Amino acid sequence: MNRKRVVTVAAVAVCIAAAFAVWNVNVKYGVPKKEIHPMEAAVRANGYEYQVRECRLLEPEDFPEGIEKTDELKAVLVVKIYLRSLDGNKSVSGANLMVQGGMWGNSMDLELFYVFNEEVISGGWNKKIDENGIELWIPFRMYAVQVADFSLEEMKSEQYELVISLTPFRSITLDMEND
Amino acid sequence: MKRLLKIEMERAFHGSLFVLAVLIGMGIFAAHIYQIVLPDAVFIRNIDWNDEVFLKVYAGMQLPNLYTDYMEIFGGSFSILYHFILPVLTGLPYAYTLFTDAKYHYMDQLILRGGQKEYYRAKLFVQFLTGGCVAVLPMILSFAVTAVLLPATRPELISPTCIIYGASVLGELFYRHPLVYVIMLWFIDFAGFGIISCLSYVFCELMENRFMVVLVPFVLYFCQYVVCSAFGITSVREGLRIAALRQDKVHEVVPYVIGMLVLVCVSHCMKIRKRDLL
Repeated sequence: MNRKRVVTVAAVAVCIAAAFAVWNVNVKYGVPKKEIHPMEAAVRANGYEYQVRECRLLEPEDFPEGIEKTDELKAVLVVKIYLRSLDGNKSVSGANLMVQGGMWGNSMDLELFYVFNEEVISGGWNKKIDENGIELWIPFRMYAVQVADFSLEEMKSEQYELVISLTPFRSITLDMEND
Repeated sequence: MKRLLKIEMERAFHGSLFVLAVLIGMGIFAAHIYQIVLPDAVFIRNIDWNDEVFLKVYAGMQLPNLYTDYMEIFGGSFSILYHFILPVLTGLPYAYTLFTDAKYHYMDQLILRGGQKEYYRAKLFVQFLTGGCVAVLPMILSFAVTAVLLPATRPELISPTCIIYGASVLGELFYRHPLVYVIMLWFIDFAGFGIISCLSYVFCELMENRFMVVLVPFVLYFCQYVVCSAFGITSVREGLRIAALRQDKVHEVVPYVIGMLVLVCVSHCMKIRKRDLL
């Protein structure tokens, strides 16, 4: 065998081994579980039920308490989520939840709100509905720098994507229209 | 033209300097893989999906994956270093031939056989091709190595762990079709560093030794970066790190690209019309 043939055979062998390794790593550790649900659908995962009940774009005069009105803050997108424990022994405070809104096009960087459990809420408000459930109000603040070219009417007609991530690698996307 | 191209391609791609340039690039990528990708690969292999503490700590967080750990997208000091020295690497395999051809009159032989226009066309084309290949080959190889170690999970904006975000150039494309984004990144880098390496072609006649011809793109690139930094303007160096470039800065980079293209075109036209060459 000459040198050229040895190099070719070695290169083909490396390519085959690499292709197998890529396939293996993706089958074993990749492939996130992602589900898309419509608005108001009750989504059950990890012993909890999640339901996005409302999604509204608020103008400055309608801003809820706790949100300071500034010239920079143009609008607030409020998402109301109902979270219920399916297991009587399990508290809602044990639920793993992280929510982020995204507006594609002009900007998709809205403020992040992490909601890990009842005690540690980095944004928004929660209200106890019954023994097993709470209602979370999560506001996404839209600043002038992010939505400078958009009028409120245009912002209302935008398509928003809300992603709820429950555990690593698993997330639920709610395909919804902004009301 | 075909014969000339074949000769020049052989000089550029079959030389040990081409291998050296690619190896230096690969070395930087290898350092990134050793420092960032390998520990992440070990981490995801050791995850216990039944460990409640782990699930709580990492709830909602994106785990390391091919796209977020790939050096060009991850950012970090190695990415900065790579982009910093690339203009030297891109000129290393071939740029010096522009000088030596003229000095040792090898150019006369080639022009007599192939024609002046064809000679310069071949030179410019091969210089562009060499620059692009030296820049992009290590990127492709390192992407392949990262793909072997980490899963190609789609990156989530919900938990960004890289330098790309909403306002980044092609940020939306990255979060929707990451592979297409990476391929586009290679094309842009190929074209960008190909053009930068052509600056050697532009200034080769003004230089007095071969090393200066190789270093011309780097000197211009570095000086431009220093001047732009002083005035707070986006430089070519920052403009070619597409992953870290913001959409509102693109208009600051476009004039540089147009300027370099004009410079190369004007210089090429002048070279092919030169009368006292032989």
